[in-house]
Amino acid sequence: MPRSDVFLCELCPKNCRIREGQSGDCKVRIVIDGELRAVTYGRPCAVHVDPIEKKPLFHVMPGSRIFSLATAGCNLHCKFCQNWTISQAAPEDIRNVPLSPHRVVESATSQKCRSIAYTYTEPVVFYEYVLDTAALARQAGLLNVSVTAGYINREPLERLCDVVDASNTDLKGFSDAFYRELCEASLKPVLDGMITMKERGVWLEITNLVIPTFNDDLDMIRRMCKWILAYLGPETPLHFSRFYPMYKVRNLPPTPMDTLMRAREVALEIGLQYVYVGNVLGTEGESTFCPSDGTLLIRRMGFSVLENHLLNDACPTCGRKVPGLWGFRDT
Amino acid sequence: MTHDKTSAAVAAFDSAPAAGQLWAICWASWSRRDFLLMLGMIPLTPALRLAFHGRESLLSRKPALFAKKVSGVAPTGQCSAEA
Repeated sequence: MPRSDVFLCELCPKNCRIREGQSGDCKVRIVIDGELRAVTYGRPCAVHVDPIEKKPLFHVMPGSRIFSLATAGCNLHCKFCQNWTISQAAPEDIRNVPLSPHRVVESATSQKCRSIAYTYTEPVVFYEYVLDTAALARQAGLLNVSVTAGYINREPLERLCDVVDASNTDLKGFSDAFYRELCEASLKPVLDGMITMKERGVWLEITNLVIPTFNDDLDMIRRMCKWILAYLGPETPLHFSRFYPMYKVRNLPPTPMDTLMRAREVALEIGLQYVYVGNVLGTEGESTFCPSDGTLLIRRMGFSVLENHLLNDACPTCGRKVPGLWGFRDT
Repeated sequence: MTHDKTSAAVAAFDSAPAAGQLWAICWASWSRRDFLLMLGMIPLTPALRLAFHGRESLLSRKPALFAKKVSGVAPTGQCSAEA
């Protein structure tokens, strides 16, 4: 094997060793001219204004608009990825637009967005872009939201927590085998990362995509909920999301509604207080209820907020405070 | 080829400059009369992709954080990560 300068990328637990002209596993950190470079910095491949419910974040400024962007690349390779056309692409292979951090913040403000989401692919791999944009966004009074698989080393995560206000973290399954076989990653760093975010004051919501036969076992779901209860607390919102056939997993049907509703029941029985069902329309699992007296607090349909009865961030009936970053409402 | 020979060939290919990689792909395709192979192989390496697209216009040169230079044997392929 040839000997040459090798760079160790310590951003994520893959700890890639990369040499000149090569990229890390994420495809977007490449050694060029003797330096490891974040080649998608300032070059997003997707830029949209979304409802914040789409992230999903149900306890952060409900009904508000969130400026959302992504660059190519991901450090996971989930066989069921819903955004694989951009997450699994190399940056040269898809269309990118130049958009500096300043322009992102200007655009978000002019689009009347209250927050910026680093989403669609994996913000960990465009880490430097997130850091710079988030710092400017915070100065402009915008919240920063990371929608992530949470596969990142502790030190970079801690630095990220200084500028990120909220995160929806994908907990893809509650077994290391699942992560290794379907995502080319491992479970422990994700769990450790969520604990770190919680400790550092980042508002955390969790999404679990329920895939038939892969991670829909109720025992696994029960163990996951117990872990969330023990380490992140009962007030951590959990979203069970419906799977649709995608990418390399096209041989399975969409998640049956019964499975999602049973998963929600299990989570509520274990003691989690805010459990939602996503990627489906018209169930009570889309709405927020007071854990004390069952009062309907926020009624949602898809990505729309139909009713918001929160009064000073609390249940209007019993006065129980509901955790979240409620801030202001556009509804 | 044995595994060792394959690894050595991959390592030699990876360490070649873009022009050398392109020549190797053309030669392999010609020798097997398989031009689809050539088209399929061109996007395989970042070096070739960069050479074809022009890195200045497509890619940022922002230095990455949490990167350090280490000595040792370079891996083959893109990443030696243990996932």
